[in-house]
Amino acid sequence: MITPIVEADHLVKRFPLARSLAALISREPQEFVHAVDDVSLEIYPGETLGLIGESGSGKTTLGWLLAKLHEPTAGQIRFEGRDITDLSGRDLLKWRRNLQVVFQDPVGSLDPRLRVWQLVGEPILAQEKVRREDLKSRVAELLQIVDLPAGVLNQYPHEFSGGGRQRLSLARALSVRPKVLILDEPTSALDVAVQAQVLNRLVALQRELGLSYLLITHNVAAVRYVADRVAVMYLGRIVEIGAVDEVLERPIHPYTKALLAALPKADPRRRRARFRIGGEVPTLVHPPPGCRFAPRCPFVIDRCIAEDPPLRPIPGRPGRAAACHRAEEIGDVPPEQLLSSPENPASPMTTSAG
Amino acid sequence: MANKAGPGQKRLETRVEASKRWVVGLREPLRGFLRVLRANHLTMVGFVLVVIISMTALVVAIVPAMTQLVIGHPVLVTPYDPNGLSTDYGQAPSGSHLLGTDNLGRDMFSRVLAALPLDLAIGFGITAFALLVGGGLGLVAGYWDRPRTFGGVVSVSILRIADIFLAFPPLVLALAIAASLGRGTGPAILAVLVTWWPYYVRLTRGEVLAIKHQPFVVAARAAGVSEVRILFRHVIRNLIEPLLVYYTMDIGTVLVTFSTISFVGIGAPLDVPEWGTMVESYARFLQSLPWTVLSAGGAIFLTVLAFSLFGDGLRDILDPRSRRALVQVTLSSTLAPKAAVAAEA
Amino acid sequence: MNGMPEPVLDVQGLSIDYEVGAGTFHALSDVSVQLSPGRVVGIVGETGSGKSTLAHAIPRLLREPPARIRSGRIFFQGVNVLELPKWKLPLLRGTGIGMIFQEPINSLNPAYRVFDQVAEAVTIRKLRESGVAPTLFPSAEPHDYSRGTRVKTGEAILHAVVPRVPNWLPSARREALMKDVLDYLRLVRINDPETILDLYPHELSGGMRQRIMIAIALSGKPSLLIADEPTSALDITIQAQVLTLMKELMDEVRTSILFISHDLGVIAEMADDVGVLYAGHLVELGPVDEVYTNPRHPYTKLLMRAIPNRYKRAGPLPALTGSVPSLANVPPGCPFHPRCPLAQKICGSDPGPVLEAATGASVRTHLAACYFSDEVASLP
Repeated sequence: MITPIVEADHLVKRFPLARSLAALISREPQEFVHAVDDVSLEIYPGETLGLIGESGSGKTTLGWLLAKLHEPTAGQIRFEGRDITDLSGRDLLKWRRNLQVVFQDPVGSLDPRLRVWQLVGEPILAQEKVRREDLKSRVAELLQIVDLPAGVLNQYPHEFSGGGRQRLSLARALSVRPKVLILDEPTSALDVAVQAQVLNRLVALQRELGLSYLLITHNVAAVRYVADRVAVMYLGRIVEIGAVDEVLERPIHPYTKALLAALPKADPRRRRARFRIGGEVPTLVHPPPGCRFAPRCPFVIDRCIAEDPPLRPIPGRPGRAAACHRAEEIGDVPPEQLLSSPENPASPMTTSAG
Repeated sequence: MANKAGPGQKRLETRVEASKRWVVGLREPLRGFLRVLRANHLTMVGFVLVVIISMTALVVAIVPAMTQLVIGHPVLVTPYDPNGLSTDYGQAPSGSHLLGTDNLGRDMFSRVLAALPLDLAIGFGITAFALLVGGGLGLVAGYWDRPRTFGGVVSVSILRIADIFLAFPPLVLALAIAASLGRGTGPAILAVLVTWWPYYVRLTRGEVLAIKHQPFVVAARAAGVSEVRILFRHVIRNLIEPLLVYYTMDIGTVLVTFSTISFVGIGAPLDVPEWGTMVESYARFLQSLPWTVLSAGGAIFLTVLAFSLFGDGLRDILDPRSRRALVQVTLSSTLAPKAAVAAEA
Repeated sequence: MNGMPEPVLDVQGLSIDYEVGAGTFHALSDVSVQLSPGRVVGIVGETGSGKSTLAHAIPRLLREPPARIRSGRIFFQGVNVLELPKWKLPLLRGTGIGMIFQEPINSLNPAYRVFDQVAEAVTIRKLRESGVAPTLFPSAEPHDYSRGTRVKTGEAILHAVVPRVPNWLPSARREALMKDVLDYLRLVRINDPETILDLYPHELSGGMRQRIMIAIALSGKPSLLIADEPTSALDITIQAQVLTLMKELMDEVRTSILFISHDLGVIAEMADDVGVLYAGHLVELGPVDEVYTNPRHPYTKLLMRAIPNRYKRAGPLPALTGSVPSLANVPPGCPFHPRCPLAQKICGSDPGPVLEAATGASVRTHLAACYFSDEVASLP
């Protein structure tokens, strides 16, 4: 049994809502946004776990929790078997070289006033005392690893395009030779052509350096390419998890099906298709007693509204887990069924009346 | 690149390398600086004026003191003795008296020059002090402001006290304080100082809050950088630019405020050359000897203008983004700034 | 091919530069495209391809310095937009050309409630229809005064000054507008629109804001709708909802749409015809089915290949080499030639055959700005 390199155990993160003075005076109870609500997962050494979801799913918060950038409200985090939930101070700083984050915003995550060698070398400086020359040569090596020319050491971040900045962030994260990289939306600011280059590099680096990745994104194609396993999040919970090809080709949970059905495909026949899952993703302030996807789910039955389905392994599908009461029944319904089109005029709402 | 010589030689080489690096390091921002000046004519005008005014002030202030030490008696830089009465009173500007003379025959140009060091020092000095005090307090109020901690309490108290001062219009407050402290240059300086620091508290706190939540600060934290280092390396470094810009433009306002206090009669005593008192004493000659009032007032105007113009362009000078990439195409976000794009593999 | 309706939009040889201190950016070079009534033309391109410039140029929304229209003509319903005097430009917009932008939080006024923003657009149209306000395209039908849509001049002047209709004003005008506003909100599939009338944009979700943007654009009953990345900022499921909405509206309303996006999938779903933009040049143009199944320009083909749609065990993604050139340094000749596997000597000096759609024809022919388009099919 391999020890997972990162483990999350029933993690919860709630953010207090701002309260008006009137509410304070009348002693109304404090309300919270439940960003992450009872999430447990494992990342194994050398693998990529993809985390997909839309805004409000809690995936970014979960990533930050694992990176120790937020304090969990409840739950435990383990790194290589060791409990790091309460790590703080010097120990925390020292531990940070094991896990680095590549942030979403390539513009904002690089200090515009620092030069490349200062930015990329910063994590090294935080961990050890290094002389300027040595730092610069180490940074030059890192730049090579991410396919940037070594001559840019003295330039400023704004002189790079989006893809270039993303590589700088990656180089910075790799500077302390971490074991785990958390990649928060690494492709969202990039063009398709550049995405391909960056994704290729990420996969190659993983193999060369033996890294483990947590890939947080809403870009399903990127996850398909890079990830080994994928978890789907909705409103603070993991609703489905499994091997990437399994989940993306034979999704069990209705939300996963909806997500996959919603993806635009470069297939002109899709012009007649109509996406029928309505509703918005709310912020979770008052968790409902039942399934969180119930208001929008085309397969909903009474039990879904009353009882919250746990994330459970699905019999007959090894390595898969989904949080749905009707998983066995509707697990095989393909995502295309959620679209109504001339070939499929009946919307699922009417077909699943039973 | 590394010459593996003996340790002594290595030290020498590093020193030479270091100084060479220093010069090279200067050359590039200098070029950028000149480029901004060339692009923005008003800023260049402001910069040139600032330099001229500052140099003149230095000369007017220092030379008499130096010569006093060296020769024994001060050599005045001004063409005439600023307080020297003469019979050439009421003269319009001419070849011998560039700005004319006042009702007592004193040369206006000399008087204006004589007041320059004091007024400029007031402008620089008070503003700098307010910047340091107010900025320091603002930094505390912005950085350690988490509610329900000691820092939070301190932060809120600083803000409320600043708010009390900010409730009064600055000129009115300064006059009131100066009046209650009595006449004199010192009390006037103190009055302006006390009035001014709260603005920097607000300004700094706002900037700190904005910077604190920037992704690059979070990224630094995630990289394992200690909080202290983050404070100095990221927060303060990014703070300097807006503060310096505000400071430069504020110099003019402080100057005017101080001059107004003197004008009203509370500030500098009449025997100390100061533009504000000059305007006040020559006010009644507006019709008969207009050049007297206009010289003093014009000096204030020119100084304030110079610093404002320069301060305005200072932002462009300091921001590394504008030093290089003078491309701001204001369209939708899909058009990213593209200047010297580093090659992507 | 007579009997072809006159195109709603006819862009001919448009070239636009941005002149900024550091250099000149050639945002568009000799771009020609046409839009027939009721059709949807998609423009696909990456960042820096000039697609936003095209979107903003047509209703003359570019700020003229630093932008400079070097050459070309833009005919909207027969009127050359580029020759209109400045004061006539607002007349073009709203009722002639409608626009939907990418980030609705930026394009909706944060200080006004939903009702006021939609009502403003409706009022402008009514003012123009009733003849009180000038319009570029006066209605061919004589105005029917008995229909009660007449707006009094005094109210027109008031509206020009005070766009917001205060709640406390017991105005018959607010009631008269209410019906229209609600109708348009229902048109964009907002259930119970009464509940959102008094909300501010920041109180709404992204999908909702975009629907309101569409409602505002449609309430002007424009002949041409320009959609500049309308769904790029939205979540996947919300994007699918908004795209479905737009498809249904296209069936109902029959406005011509110029749809701009970087997402090949979105364009495939929405457009009838597609134009591919690279570094300011239009490199391919044709019916969407044909372009997607049989691309005739190397860039189009390589772009489609580079979209990640495989697992990593199948090997590395066939990424494009190099990067998109800066618009200040567009390579001479064909802009794609430094990265093109089919490039030959001539590509460095000759930009390839010009894509000129014949006047009056809709885009039925599939054209590519490449001399070697026949060999594109053989690229792996």
